[in-house]
Amino acid sequence: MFKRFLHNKTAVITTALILAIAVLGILAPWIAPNDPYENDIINKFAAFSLEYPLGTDHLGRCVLSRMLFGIRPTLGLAALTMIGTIGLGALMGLLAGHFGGIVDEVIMRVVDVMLSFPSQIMVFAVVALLGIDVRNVILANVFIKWAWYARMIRTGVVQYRDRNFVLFSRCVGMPEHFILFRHLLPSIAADLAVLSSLDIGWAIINISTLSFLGLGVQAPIPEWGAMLNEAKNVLTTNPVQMLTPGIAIVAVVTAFNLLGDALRDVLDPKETQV
Amino acid sequence: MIELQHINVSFRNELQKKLFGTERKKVLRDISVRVEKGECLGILGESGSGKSTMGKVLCGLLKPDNGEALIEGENIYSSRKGRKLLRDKISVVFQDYTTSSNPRFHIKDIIGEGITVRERKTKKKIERKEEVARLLTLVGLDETYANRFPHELSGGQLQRVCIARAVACDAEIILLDEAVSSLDAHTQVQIMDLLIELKNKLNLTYIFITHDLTSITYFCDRVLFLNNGRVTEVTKTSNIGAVTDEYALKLLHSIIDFMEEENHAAECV
Ligand SMILES: Nc1ncnc2c1ncn2[C@@H]1O[C@H](COP(=O)(O)OP(=O)(O)OP(=O)(O)O)[C@@H](O)[C@H]1O
Ligand SMILES: [Mg+2]
Repeated sequence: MFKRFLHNKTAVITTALILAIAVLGILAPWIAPNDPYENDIINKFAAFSLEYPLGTDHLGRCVLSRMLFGIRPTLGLAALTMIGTIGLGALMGLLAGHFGGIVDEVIMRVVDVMLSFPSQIMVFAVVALLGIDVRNVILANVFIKWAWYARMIRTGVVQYRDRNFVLFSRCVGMPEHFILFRHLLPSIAADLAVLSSLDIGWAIINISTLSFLGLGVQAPIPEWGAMLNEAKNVLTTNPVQMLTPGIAIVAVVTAFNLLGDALRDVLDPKETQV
Repeated sequence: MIELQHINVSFRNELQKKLFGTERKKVLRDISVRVEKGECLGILGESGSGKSTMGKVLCGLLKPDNGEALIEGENIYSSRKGRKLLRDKISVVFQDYTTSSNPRFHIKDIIGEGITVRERKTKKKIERKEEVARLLTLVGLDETYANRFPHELSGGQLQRVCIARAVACDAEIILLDEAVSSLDAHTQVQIMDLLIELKNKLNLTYIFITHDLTSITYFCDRVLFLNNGRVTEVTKTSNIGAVTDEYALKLLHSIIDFMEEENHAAECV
């Protein structure tokens, strides 16, 4: 499987890009040229220079340093959201698919209800209800997203649990965890990897949107969406301010989406090697 | 050692006349049969007569509507002890080999699952690589197939992998649902000889489902005729010429006619 991964150019490039960004985020305190919180009002909206490679913002803070420090909340929160979503969704989906009957009915009807809400409005509602806080943003995202995963994983389990290879394991008395972790989950994993790498892009945008609207990460913490929010106030006078965080968000989200497509090819053993 | 008593199985009819209809289609009706240790029972019947369904009931995968399925006197479906006993003793080759092996497993892992089953039973570690190679050669496949994926094998090769996996389990009873039907005559005989040899060595019990009379006469001690979910006759293979049941006769004759025609065609060529 790993060899197939290495053979897929898109997968390798996007993964490398994402990993590089993550490493930059981890190393931010050591490689950032300036303190991301230090304002220098006199030097605001400075152009690109050696001291401020990407210029300064409306408070004279180094944009590059803020971008680097912003990786942690941007990627970290999105990752947390996905872990929560997949965890809850997988648990519910496996319960529904494995036990069937009344458990299945109850879980799937809850899922139907969840899926029928317009998601963006649900996020606002949840955040409004719980208060403006990063933790609540993650909770809200998990809350509206888990149902998708629950339904997908249940479908997968139902689809594979009557295949002959599972029936064989069952017949000769292989333990349940073998059936679950060696047969069912790997069969679903391909779809799961694709969906979640597409959705992590969604999570990044969502968290950035909420920060942009002032509901997520609060100033002065550097987060890409929050930086866009600050830049929008000076959109007419200094449009360049939008550029850096905007391009960064688009690039990362695109990378995740391309990775999702590439994973679909990599994880299918029938796909002939290029 | 394994026994069915008055088994009935029905499936929900998909085409219901009423919206909430509960009409059910009867697939097995009042099946009773007893398989002794060390014997080989053949189940013969035309397509759709319920052979595979009967196999599912026998290997503990389909709970019958009513009737008892017993192994050494313990109920397979209602007693924990019976279920455990069955799992320890049975192994199976399914009719549909295309879904019988996990497409994400290498051949060595597919056969490896059977080896794991044996390891769990005997509580002894088995040298994987050698054992996989031994089993592959046993069913007439090259050792190098171990590192392939199922989709890289032909249907018959895959079927033989499934037979190797079933044999690897160290089971006392092996249920073979059309296990050799997709193979050519030469390989069929080779596999059946292998199974007979194993049976004599380890005193195995076989339940052999097929629609092919020749392999039954070659392989089985007794034959059970199944027609439309009913057992019409059970007879010794050596007495197969003396069947009295109308349906069994019809089935036999149609098969014999077919074979004669085939021979005739072969002569003409
Ligand atoms: N899961 C199911 N749901 C509904 N009907 C079924 C199901 N499985 C089997 N049947 C029906 O039961 C009948 C017997 O099927 P079975 O698979 O036992 O036939 P068979 O004797 O094995 O035939 P073949 O020789 O073609 O394999 C068929 O009419 C089939 O349509
Ligand atoms: Mg069948």
